[in-house]
Amino acid sequence: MKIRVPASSLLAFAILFACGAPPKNAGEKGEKNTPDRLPYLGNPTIVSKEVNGKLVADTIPQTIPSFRFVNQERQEISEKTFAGKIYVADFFFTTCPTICPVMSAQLLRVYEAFPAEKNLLLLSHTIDPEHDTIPVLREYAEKLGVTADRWHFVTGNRDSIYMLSEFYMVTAEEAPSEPGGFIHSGSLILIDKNRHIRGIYDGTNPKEVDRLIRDIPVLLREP
Amino acid sequence: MLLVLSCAAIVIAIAYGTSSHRNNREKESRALYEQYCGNCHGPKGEGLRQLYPPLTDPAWLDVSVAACIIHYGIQGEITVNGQTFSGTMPPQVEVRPDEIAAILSYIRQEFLNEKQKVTIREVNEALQNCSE
Repeated sequence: MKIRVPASSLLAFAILFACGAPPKNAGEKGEKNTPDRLPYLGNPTIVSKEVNGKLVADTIPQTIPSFRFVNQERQEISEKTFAGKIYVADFFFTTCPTICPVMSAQLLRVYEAFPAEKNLLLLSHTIDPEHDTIPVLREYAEKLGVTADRWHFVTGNRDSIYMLSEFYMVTAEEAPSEPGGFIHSGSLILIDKNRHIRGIYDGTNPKEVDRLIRDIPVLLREP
Repeated sequence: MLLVLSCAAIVIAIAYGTSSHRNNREKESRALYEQYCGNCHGPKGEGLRQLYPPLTDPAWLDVSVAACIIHYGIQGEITVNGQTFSGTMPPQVEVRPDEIAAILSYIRQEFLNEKQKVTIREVNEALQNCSE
């Protein structure tokens, strides 16, 4: 005896199965992808320290050194500004025709995702301090609709900015042949309370920025 | 029977050929838009706050206006969708007239739902009559 099943119903079943199952798995997987604890990135330094009179080796994760810049409101910004807080840093310039507008749009998503979070700041460094003066940065922030209590746009000594970018593991250099005159990577870097790097995200990729938005609460929960 | 089948095959082949040709052109137009416009004006032409205007105001998207802006850039205060913008869009002289036509066709199709394609001839005419 044969059981006749219309081909169309088999097809419908196959489609239902194929389309129905994966999103659920993907959802579960997505949640599992958010770790309980974020890794330390960069190159650690091995130092010796004294414990109970004995010298022992200790590992210090890569640390952002001290810095001093000025933000769009002419306030001095240093590592002290970020004491006890976590922050997201990037490097950009206001006349950038390529990836910066995308990075700004994505960083704006982070800004808007945590409107009341006082322990999270954003820090955008210009890599074109000659053009991006304080009034230029101020106008940029105003047009983006963001304020300096949560998002600092900073300028300062050109060499200090470029040197600091290396500690954030961002490449930035002048390139007269490139559109806009500079090349730089579009990373958003997540820094913890002790100035260690805890995440690096492609600021031009919305999915990567989704991951950043999921990682921030994990880092905020750290004691 | 064979005749019917082969006819059907030809019809399908032609339809497929035309649609894949059209898809390729749409893909190229989209790629050009993303390369030259999308970073600032957004993937859906939505703009970015007061920094970059949206590409949804028909007054700015007529070929006679838009072709000149793409080629020569624009600066100063402008009003788009009733909102004021002031900034500088750099000239993009490297974008060829045929590419401008493809980009404008894409923008008008996607953001204004305007099916009529912009031709290379229209772009060339516009570029010869740009105001200072």
